Amino acid sequence: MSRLIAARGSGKKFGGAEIVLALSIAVLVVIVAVPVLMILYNAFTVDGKLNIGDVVDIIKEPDTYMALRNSLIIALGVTGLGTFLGVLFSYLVARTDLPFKSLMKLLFIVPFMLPSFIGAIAWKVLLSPRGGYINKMFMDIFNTSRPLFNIYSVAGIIVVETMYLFPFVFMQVSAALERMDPTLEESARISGVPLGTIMRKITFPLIMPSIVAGALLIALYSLAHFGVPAILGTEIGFYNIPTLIYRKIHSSGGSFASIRTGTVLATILIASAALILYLQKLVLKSGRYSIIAGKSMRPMLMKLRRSKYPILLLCFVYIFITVILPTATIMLVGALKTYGLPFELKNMTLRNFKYILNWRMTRQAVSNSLLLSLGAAFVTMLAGTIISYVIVKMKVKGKFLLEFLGVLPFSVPGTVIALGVILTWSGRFGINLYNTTWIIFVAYIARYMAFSIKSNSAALEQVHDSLEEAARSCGATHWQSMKDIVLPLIKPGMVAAFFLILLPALRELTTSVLLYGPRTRTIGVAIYALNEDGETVLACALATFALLIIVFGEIVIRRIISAKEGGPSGG
Amino acid sequence: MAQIVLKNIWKSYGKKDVVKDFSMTIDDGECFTFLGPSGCGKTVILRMIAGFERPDRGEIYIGDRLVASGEKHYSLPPESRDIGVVFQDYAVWPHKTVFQNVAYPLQIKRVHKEELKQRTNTAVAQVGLKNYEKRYPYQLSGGQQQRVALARALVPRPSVLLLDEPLNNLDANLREEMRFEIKILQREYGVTVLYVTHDQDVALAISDRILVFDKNGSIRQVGRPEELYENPNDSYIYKFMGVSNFLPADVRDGKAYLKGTGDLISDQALVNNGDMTLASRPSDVILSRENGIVAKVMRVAYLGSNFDYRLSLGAFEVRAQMDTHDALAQRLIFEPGEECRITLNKITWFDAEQAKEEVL
Ligand SMILES: Nc1ncnc2c1ncn2[C@@H]1O[C@H](COP(=O)(O)OP(=O)(O)OP(=O)(O)O)[C@@H](O)[C@H]1O
Ligand SMILES: [Mg+2]
Repeated sequence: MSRLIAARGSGKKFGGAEIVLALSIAVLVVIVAVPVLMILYNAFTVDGKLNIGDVVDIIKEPDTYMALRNSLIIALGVTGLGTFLGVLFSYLVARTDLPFKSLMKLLFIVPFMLPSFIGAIAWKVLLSPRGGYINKMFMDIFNTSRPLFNIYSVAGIIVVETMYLFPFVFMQVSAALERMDPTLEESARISGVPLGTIMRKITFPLIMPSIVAGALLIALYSLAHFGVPAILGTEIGFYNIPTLIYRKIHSSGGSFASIRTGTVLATILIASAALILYLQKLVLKSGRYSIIAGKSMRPMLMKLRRSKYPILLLCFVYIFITVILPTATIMLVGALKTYGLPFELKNMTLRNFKYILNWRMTRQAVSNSLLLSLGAAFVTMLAGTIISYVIVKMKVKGKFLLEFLGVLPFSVPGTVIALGVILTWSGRFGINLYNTTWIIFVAYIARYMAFSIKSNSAALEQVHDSLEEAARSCGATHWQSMKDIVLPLIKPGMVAAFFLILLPALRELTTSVLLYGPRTRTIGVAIYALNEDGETVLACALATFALLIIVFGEIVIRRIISAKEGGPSGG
Repeated sequence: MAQIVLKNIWKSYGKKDVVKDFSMTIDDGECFTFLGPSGCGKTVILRMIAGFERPDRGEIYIGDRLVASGEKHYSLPPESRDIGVVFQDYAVWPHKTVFQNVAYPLQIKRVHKEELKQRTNTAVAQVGLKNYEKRYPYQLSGGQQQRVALARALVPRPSVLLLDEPLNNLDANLREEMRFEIKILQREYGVTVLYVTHDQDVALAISDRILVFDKNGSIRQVGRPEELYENPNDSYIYKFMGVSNFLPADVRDGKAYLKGTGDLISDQALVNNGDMTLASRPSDVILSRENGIVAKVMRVAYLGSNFDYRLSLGAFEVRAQMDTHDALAQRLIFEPGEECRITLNKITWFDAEQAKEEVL
């Protein structure tokens, strides 16, 4: 390491820089590229020969065809509804005189931190057609046998997913509205153009790229989303692509035909994700020029007048329904003596929580999840730092390959990674990790590497080359300048990367549900399996612990990040 | 001891040759300046001397030591070259205090604690930052940061100091003060200084020798400051050394006439007959009411110690500078629109063909 420049200078074909580059590429190829290639290879070949006809046959099967159709319907619905809500709320928060705006802004992002499959369980408890608490209450009061709302439906899935995915649009559009140059609107205002026209003719065209970019993100996630459809759809035989892959892999015990179907479906996911990300890049590129970064001036605010308090109430009701109600439901159900009893004190107990704490299965799941997410976060943070360093700072040929491999996982959904990892690490290349924690570990690294590279690259971009060169000219070796200058400066980025991986990994379900063995359940898998087995109360009790861990983690990360911003390097 | 020798250096980026067959020797203990327009390759050469880039071809020696060779694909890493560098953008480390920044080179050298403290404090005091030791860079002005960078480069007593526009972001007063400071430090330490700038004032003030590049990166002239100022090789150097007036003239038997008119500009044109270009500095344009050729005052700017005039001489513009005291004493203050008469005092002659670019 210490002789990188010297080695580069001495002109050998393979100096230190090239070795680091080669190692980084090798790691990414093995961890990221091989699984993806394995999927494509298995999808398109039979007995080692290209076979497209077979692919068409698989797609024509009613199972697969329906899953494709369902994924598309859900994605469209969620994207439409989520975009509408995201734009509406971001406009209310950024551009009206709504009270408590900063609080609202925070609250609207909370759903993002909550695992959507836990939310789905809560909604199952509240709105399942017969047993759901709200439906039961409704049927009792109105003396009918028709439920108020059946959550086991396409509409139910769309609504629940939307609650957790709309922040994508909300955050993108809020940011755009805040960055937008208010003079554009003001000059129109001064020339007497009415507010409605200004919004239509100036504001919306300017934030359109952000809206589209956010909407595409929703589509990307929804298309490949496992948790909500798995909990609300499976009950009525409704499958989308990820849940069908899950069913095929699980029910068949790994038969070749089912794996093939899985790889074909996965290939479709990869292709649509790639398309969506490509579109997003185009849209963001076109939008960059229209928004000016000057944040100094206060935008003009729309006066809500008499509708101010009704709208405020509406916002609070929304937050109550999407955040507080499901969270409270989970905690209350977790405390019930038996599922189905009314929420009365005499029916409550702490026994379930105690049971969860002592049960070997759940203890193992919690410790698995903690070890896996800490380990994956740590390894990915370090590897991501080195890889980003090569990408951002080193002058070596061939690093574009590294950049490509580094962002590839962004377009590879969790289900696909799991499937690829199964194909790669089940003995095919001499290493069999199947049914061990390691296979989940490898999958997590593949899944989260892109987060780390993104965060670390951003931090490294901030460290100007001359800072390192100054250290070199002061007599520091390459290694010393890394240790004394670069590392301290990018530490906040590394810490951020660590938590950006740790928290999602803790509540992860999509990937591990395809990979777990009898003793390698994660928290997500344990909750999911308990719910599947009808142990709703225990599922909720465990989910309560999970929520506590997540909320605690979010608070810690916020503390750390805001402390960093106040520090000496923040000026 | 620490002479810098550059031998036939070539460097290109992509298809663009930035440095083409550049050779130069910078003497030990000399303050040598690279002066040239933006983008001519000054920084690139400096970076090759520092070891951040390797020449494609050619060799670089610092002292007797070969530090880089394009042909041998060899480049001694920067940390082994015994140099100090001050960067165009200061490159002060934001996570270290002033003291920690300046002490870092000594720390790397494992200088003993007491000595480290004492030498660091001396260096900090030398650049006028006493009492700022505990501050972080974001608590300093641009000029102060630049001084931290200077102290940091000097504190390990390198044999070569490379300065890339180190005074760019300072105000005029501070710039003057700092260039004195650099000069004093250079004499004191006996360090060889390579100074890169496109500001000829600084170059003239501190250099023992100046090298002037043209915009293609070729050497136009090397010499002592007064040499360049008084005996420029060509009109390009003349123009680079300060504000200049260029006028086309028709020379006949020692008399020079403004081209296209009968106005006699000089009767002491001891140059060849024919088309010539004359050059003069604004301070050598003498204004009067009686003597000389007629010019019209276009604009006047009062600059404190002098008046700055823009005059039109037919189709040409002439800048003139007049000392405020003289102007007041001789009642020679003109208003825009007025007519005046001018004589050109110290004229430098250039071949019209060669000076074409500057006149236009
Ligand atoms: N790393 C690089 N890659 C590509 N081109 C470069 C690189 N470094 C310099 N150049 C090119 O080389 C030329 C000379 O650059 P250099 O930085 O030496 O200019 P300079 O004389 O220092 O100018 P300035 O006075 O503006 O600092 C420029 O045209 C620049 O674009
Ligand atoms: Mg430069």
